Amino acid sequence: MSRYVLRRIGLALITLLLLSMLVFIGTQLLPGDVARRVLGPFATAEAVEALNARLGTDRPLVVQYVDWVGSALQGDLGQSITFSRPVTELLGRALVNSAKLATVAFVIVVPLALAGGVVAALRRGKLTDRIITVGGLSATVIPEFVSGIVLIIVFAIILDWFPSTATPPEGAGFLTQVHSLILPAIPLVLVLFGYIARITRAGVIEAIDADYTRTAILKGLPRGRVIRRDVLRNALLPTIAVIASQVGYLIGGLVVVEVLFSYQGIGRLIFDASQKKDFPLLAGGVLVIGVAFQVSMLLADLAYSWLNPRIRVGAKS
Amino acid sequence: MTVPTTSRVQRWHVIRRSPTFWVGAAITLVWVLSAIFGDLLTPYDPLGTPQDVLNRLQPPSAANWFGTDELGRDVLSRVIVGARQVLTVSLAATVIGTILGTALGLVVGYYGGLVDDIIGRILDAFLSIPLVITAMLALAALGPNTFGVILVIGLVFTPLIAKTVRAAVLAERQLDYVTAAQLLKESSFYILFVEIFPNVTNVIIVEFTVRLGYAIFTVLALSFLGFGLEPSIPDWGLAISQHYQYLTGNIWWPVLFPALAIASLVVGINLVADGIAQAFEN
Repeated sequence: MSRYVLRRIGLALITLLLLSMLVFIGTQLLPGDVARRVLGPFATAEAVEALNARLGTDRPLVVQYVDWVGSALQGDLGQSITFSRPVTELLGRALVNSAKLATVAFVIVVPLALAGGVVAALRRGKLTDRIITVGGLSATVIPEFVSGIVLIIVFAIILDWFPSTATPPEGAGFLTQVHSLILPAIPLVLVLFGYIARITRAGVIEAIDADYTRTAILKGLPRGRVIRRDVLRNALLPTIAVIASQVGYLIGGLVVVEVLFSYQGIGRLIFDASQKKDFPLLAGGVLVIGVAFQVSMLLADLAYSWLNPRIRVGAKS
Repeated sequence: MTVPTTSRVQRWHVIRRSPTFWVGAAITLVWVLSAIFGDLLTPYDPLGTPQDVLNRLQPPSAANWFGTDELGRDVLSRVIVGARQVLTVSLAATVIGTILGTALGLVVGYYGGLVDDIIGRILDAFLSIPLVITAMLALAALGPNTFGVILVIGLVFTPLIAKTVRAAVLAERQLDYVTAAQLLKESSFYILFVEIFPNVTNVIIVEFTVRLGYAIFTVLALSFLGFGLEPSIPDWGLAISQHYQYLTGNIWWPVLFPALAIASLVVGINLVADGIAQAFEN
């Protein structure tokens, strides 16, 4: 088990190193002259030179990269050009906001999608199954801003049940915050629903078709008990770990949802940074997202191997 | 050569009896036709005329079924022609990704070893960032343009498609016909592209349709975020981002109709992709 964990962590570190190179190439190499990109074609040569000197972009690329990664490891991602504040401070606040939104989405989608997947599997091939599968697939592929727009039109404008912006008033209580986050969470819920329900359905069907389930039924155990003890227990535990790996997709969706609902999260921050050519903020934001994704994948893998007795016991011997 | 013929018949049988596939195909066909013949179908000039400004933000009526937008242009006409931009950009990106990814997957799967490991790690790094954000990063650096969108999506798809093709090639490599060709001292190029390639086309077709769905999803999200477009070209994502500020004033038509167009197109394409995937996997 510990060898597996070490190997898995090692792979994650190599991936992060490669990721940091990709981000560096994207934000330092591709723009060419960074200061010229930021200041535009009409800035004087002296201004461009001064900004390059201030940003450190006049040094050799290898030096810049090593310096950037070194500082990042010490928790320093540099200064944002547009906000004139430390990138880590801006990212920290945005991450908290995004985490709130993501939590609301997960709390809604996980029970719903698990139930949907189980029902679809138990009614395999019947109308209920087709409705959940095709409906789930359709919900998954519709872009978040499209479902978000329809939700705003119906629930914020026509019915006026929810606010159309996600940012609650300053110092709002817990319930007010949750209330303003429900509408923006639903587009994320729709995208995740189809995926999680599909995986749950596949897991449950596999467990139903397994020999141990047949044995349990042939032994004459009641159907309800077989489903609870043999099918669900075997099917759902790994599925729950798979859900954790959905954090990556969630972050992609956050960009669009946060822009649409004008919510100050990490997605919105990266969007603003890329529009204003704030390369230090952009690089920091993308790097943080990559780290968040790798960590959640790592935790998902570890949870999966821990929850699955076959892997847990097998690795010990 | 009876084996492929039989499976082709079976596959067609599965597709033919799938109602969701036909619903998806019908929806997709409608949008493909409006992309090709859109200019003949539009009731008004989708690019608008100078006089249109007098007629801005009019609600749906007998004259303008879907109403008019902030410049007084006919929303229906722009929705019909808007299919062209998203379909061409997504298709071009997916074709680039499929060609490069297939070539890379064939080579990596056949030779294996160190190249395989390196590609695997780079792929993991790429996958740590959502596609929309990778594209935003590249477009911020290169400056927004349509060609950039095509290139970025195509290049991100390349390792993804290569991974799938590689797995298929690994399985094929073990088979007798490859060993026979190797013993005949055929060139690696010949074995890869003439012997193995025809046997992995199924995988490539499924991958292509699934990726096309993703490409459309991403292109629309990017155009909504305002990346990589010329503002004059009718575009559904851009139309929504330009008009959603008017929603609070109860002006919903320039936003709702492009949104419904997007929803129907992505659902249609993905029902087709799902039908094809089921037929090829069973």
